[in-house]
Order: sequence, then C-alpha cells, then structure tokens
Amino acid sequence: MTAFSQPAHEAMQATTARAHLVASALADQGPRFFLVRSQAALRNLAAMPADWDGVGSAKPSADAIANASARLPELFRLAGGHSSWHAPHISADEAGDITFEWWVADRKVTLYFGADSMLVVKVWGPNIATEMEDLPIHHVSEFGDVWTWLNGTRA
Amino acid sequence: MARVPEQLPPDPIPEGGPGQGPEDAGETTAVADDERVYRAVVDSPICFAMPGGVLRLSHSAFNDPDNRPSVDRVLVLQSVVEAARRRPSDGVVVLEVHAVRQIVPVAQDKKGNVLQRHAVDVVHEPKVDNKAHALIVADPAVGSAVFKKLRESLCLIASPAGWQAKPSSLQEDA
Repeated sequence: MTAFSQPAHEAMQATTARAHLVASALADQGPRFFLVRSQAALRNLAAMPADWDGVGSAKPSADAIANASARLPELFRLAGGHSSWHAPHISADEAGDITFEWWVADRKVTLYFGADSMLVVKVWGPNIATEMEDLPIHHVSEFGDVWTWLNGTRA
Repeated sequence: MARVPEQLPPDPIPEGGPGQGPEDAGETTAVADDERVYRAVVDSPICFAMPGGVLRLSHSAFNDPDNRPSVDRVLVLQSVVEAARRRPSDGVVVLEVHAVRQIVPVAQDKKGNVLQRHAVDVVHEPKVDNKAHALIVADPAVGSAVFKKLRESLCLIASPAGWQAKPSSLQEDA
C-alpha cells in the first residue's frame, strides 16, 4: 500500500472535494449539460447534404432531426438521468431518418426517428428471426422498458 | 491483413490495377461461399465508433436506397484492399460470403409470426470501372423494415474482423 505524505493527502482530499462540487453543479444544470454532445451531433446531421455517404442516401430530414432533438431530454429522464445515461451514437439512414444507437455488451438498440414517429430495433445476435425485434414506440415513455432491457436487467 | 483463399492462388495484378484487367471486363462469375467481400465505409463518426479501440459499425455503414448494399470481391481485387475504397479517406471492412448467405431475413407481424422468408445472396455485378463490384441482395426483395434488421446482421458479421484498411481519421493511431 502506498503511503502518502500529509500534503499529498490534503491535495487529494481537495481534488475529491472539487470533483464533488463539479458533479453537483452539473447535476443542478439538469439534462442540458449531458445532452450538449448529442444536440451538437444532431446539428451536424442537419448540415449534411444529400448523398452524404456516396451511396445515394437522402439528406437527413429536418423534421426527423427536430423530432429526435425534442425527445432527447425525455429519453435522458427515462434512462435514469445522468447516473445511468450514456450518449447515443447518432446517425442517419438512407431515407433521411435519424437514429440513436447504443451498445451494451451483446445487446444493441437502434432507435429510429421519423418526422413524427419512433421505432426501436432490439438486437442481441445476428439471427433476424430469433435475435432481433422491432417495435414502434407510440409514446416516448415506452422507451424506459427498452433502456431497462438494453442494460441487462430484463430478459 | 486480407489474403487470397489458398485454393485460389492470386493471379498477377492486371495492368491498370486490380479488377481492371481486360480479361474480366463485363464478365459475371459466381461468388463462391468461401470468398470474402470488402465494404467501403465512409470516414465519418456517423458510420462507426471505436469505444476502447474496438470497431462498432453503425447500421449506416450499410445504408443503401435500393436495399442492396454494394461490396467488392476480394478475389477480383487480388486482396488489394485499398482498391475497395470509393473515396481515398474511406475505411474498409470485410465479410465472409457464407456468413452473409446464412442470414435469413424474415418479415414478421406484430406478434412475431413469420410472414415471409427471404434468401440473401452475394451476386457479382461488375461495372465498367469496377470489375470486382458485387451486391448483397435478398430474394424476394426486402422492404425497409426487414432491411433495417439485415443491416444490423451485416454489422455484426463485419465488425469482429475490424478494419482491413483504416479510414483516414484513424490512420495516425496505427
């Protein structure tokens, strides 16, 4: 075990205290701080032209981006807030719909946003018939169950 | 590093570059089960992530408006992976043809009952400027709902082998 000198110990305590203060301040800001990166990624998508990937995909839909952006705070809340949220990988499909992707161990969730629709594809293996499931999300509150499944607390 | 299957020793790279030889101009040949195909991936954080240095392909790496993603036959490219890039900055991943053919897309109703089964194949469809070009196709053709799942399968098949050629943005890490 490493023995720390008294000044070093005090410095560590001060650092820990500062870290707690920062965490507390960030939590006080609500979801905004934790969603900054995702909102920036959505803005980047809005700037993408048609055929952004060279295979003829549509320009990411402004309406789908607006839908995804508006849903983010609620998704963050349903996921349990800053203690359990991890930022999605944000992308777009060939039709211009927006997607959020999360990977946790062998599980993956892809959440599609159209202009006024949401669809989830749950994946736990490559077999389409037995290891994937798609389900429309009629209300954003249904995402809570998806998040619970993704994080392994539901079969 | 990509390699040519042992039972099919590589021919000399044709004049003009791999896949550009006059002997295979326009000729369509069957894609064998033990072949591999390259897929070019746009060098964009939209198409992949590298958490902990491990490749995670986004479904968007297999975007295709016709639901028939383009690939290039490793055999025809003489394993010259760089030739599979559509743009100089692209990354390249590889898929085993037999694994692609084992995907059985199914259309299901809301209760999970199977409505239709599709067969997935890799078919050679050479282009004037790319004799290695092939397509991942489903028969009968799949709609967008099934294609969403097909893309997920392709990502799972391609990701474990990692990059065969890194995209430009990752090359400093090599």
